[in-house]
This record gives sequence, C-alpha cells and structure tokens, in this order.
Amino acid sequence: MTPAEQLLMDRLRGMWQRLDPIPGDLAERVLFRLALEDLDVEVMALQRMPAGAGARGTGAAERASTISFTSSELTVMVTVSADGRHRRLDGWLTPAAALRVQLHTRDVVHEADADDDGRFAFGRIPEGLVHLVVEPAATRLGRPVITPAFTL
Amino acid sequence: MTVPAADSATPWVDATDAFVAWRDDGDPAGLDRLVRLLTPALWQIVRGYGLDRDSAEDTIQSTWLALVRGAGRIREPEAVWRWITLTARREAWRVAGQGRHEQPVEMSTVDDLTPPAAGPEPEVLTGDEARRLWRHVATLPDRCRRLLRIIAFADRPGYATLSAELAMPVGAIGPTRSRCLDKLRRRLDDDPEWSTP
Repeated sequence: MTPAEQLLMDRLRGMWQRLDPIPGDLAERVLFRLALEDLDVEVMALQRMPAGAGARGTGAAERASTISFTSSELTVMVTVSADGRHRRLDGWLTPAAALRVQLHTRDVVHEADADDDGRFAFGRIPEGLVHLVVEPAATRLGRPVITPAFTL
Repeated sequence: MTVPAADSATPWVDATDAFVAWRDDGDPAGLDRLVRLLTPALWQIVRGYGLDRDSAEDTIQSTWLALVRGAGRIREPEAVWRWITLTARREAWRVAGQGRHEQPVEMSTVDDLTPPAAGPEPEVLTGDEARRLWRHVATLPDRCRRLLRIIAFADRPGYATLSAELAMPVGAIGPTRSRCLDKLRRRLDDDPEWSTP
C-alpha cells in the first residue's frame, strides 16, 4: 500500500469508528449471555420496541423508556424512568403472577415481590448494566427465567 | 491450515491463544479475552453488510453462541478467527437477505445514541471531515465499501483469510482495494470542501 493509500485507510477507519461505533457495552452483554449457557434457566427474548423507545439508548436519562421480554410462559414489561440521580424500574408480569423478581446489577442483587396483578418496582438503582431473574413458584414457571442484560 | 507468516504478531494469534486457554486448558478468562478482542472487529464486518444496529448486535450474539456450542468441533485453533468471522458473515448475509437492514448503512441518529467511541485514532480527522468523507464513501459501490471496511479493521489478517471473508480470489484483493481507494480519492479531489491532502 502506498503512503497515500495508507493515510486514506487510516481516515476511513477513523470515520467508521467515529460515526458507527460499536455499542460500548456490547462485549459485556455477549459475555453475560454466554455465562448463562450452562445454567438451567430460560433466557427471555428482547421484544423490539418501535423507534424511539430506545431500549439500548444511553442518552435517554430524562425520558421513560419501555422494554419488553418474552419467554414461553411469561412476558415481562419494564419501564425505566429517572429517580433523582438514579433510575426507577417499574415492571409488569403477564400473565399476572405474584412471583419473586430479582434485579442483578454488577455488584448487588435486589429483590421484589410482584403483587397479584404481576406488578413490581425497584427504586434508586444506579445506572449501568442490569438483568432480571423471575423465580419459579409452586404453580408457575418450571425454571427461572432471565432477561438479557440491558442498560439503565 | 497453516497460518501465513504475515499473521504473526497480530491479534489473531492472541485470539488463538485465548481460545486454546479457554477450551483446552479450561480457563474461563480465555473466553472473556476472546470476546473482548474480536467483538469490535465483528461489529465492523457485520455492519459492513448493511445490518441495522439491533440486527448487528443479534448477529454478533448468535455468532458467539455458535462458537461456545460448537467449540469442540473446531479442530484447528489457529483458524478460530476465520471460523468466527465466517459464521458472522454467513449470519449477516442471511439476516441482510431478510430485509432487516439499511442500504447503505446510515449514520443518521448514531451520534444521538452513542457516545463517541474511545477509538485509538480520533485525531486522524475531525467530525466534519468524517461526515464529509462518509457522504463520499456512501456513493461507492457496495463491494468497495465492504472491502474497504473489512480491510480497514482487519489489521493484516493475511489475504488468504480475507479472500474467504470477501468471497474474492486472493489475487484480486490488492488491485480491488487500490481501485476502490482511487475512486474515493477522485471524489474527494472533486470536492472543493475537502481540503485535507
């Protein structure tokens, strides 16, 4: 390659990195998903929201956004909103079931019990990558279901 | 498969080391290294197929799942990078065929969604230059855009590997790259706003 070609290639690389960058936490989310491979859990699928809902956006600090996950037995819908300098997460299990829900952050596991309508909430959660685990109960769910990691 | 000498001292060797550490020596950190090392390049390759960002992510996730599930069947650890990129290409090509893609890739809202990547060479061009360059690149033939994008991030993987990735004879890669760069250069020369040498 000539020096001029090399320079142009460097500019192209810079251009793609700047204008079409890899999502910063993608490798992290890949590793999270791979870590579930050996566990007896069902991994839920992320339902795409219409444009603007921004499940993966990182700049939507002040706007509420809604994300939905589905598995064979359960749908989990969560709305994320600002809670002071933190985040608040309101969730809804359908079909409605009073199941225990865990919210895993990088360092801590929070727990909440869904009410009979399947509603649950977590407040004052720091920004970052999280995932939810819904625990089975006697009459519902054969095994835990777990959401892919998503960013608050 | 023997690895061309040009591959030595490149990330692909690190990829093989990480893969072997994980699969054969049972070191979980090996997989961690492998994913962090190769995912950025996979992003560029998959986006080169014109997949939108969500589809690109899904494609990369399924590529890594396929690796973990099929690791035992990879008989030549030196070829792990090639195996992964071929898997990603095949999946990207399949998904692109289903129409979940943009053509060509749009930079439109990316600036709003994602903070600028901490790339190693942000100083090679300003934001304005990048956007102007992008508009010219968008007018190149698909084949040129894809080839340049893969080569730009391939970091000398050897033409044998590249040939498989681009579905193009080894001997055609160098000349095609030069022709594509030439086309781009002429567009830049004709652009009065492009003052950079």
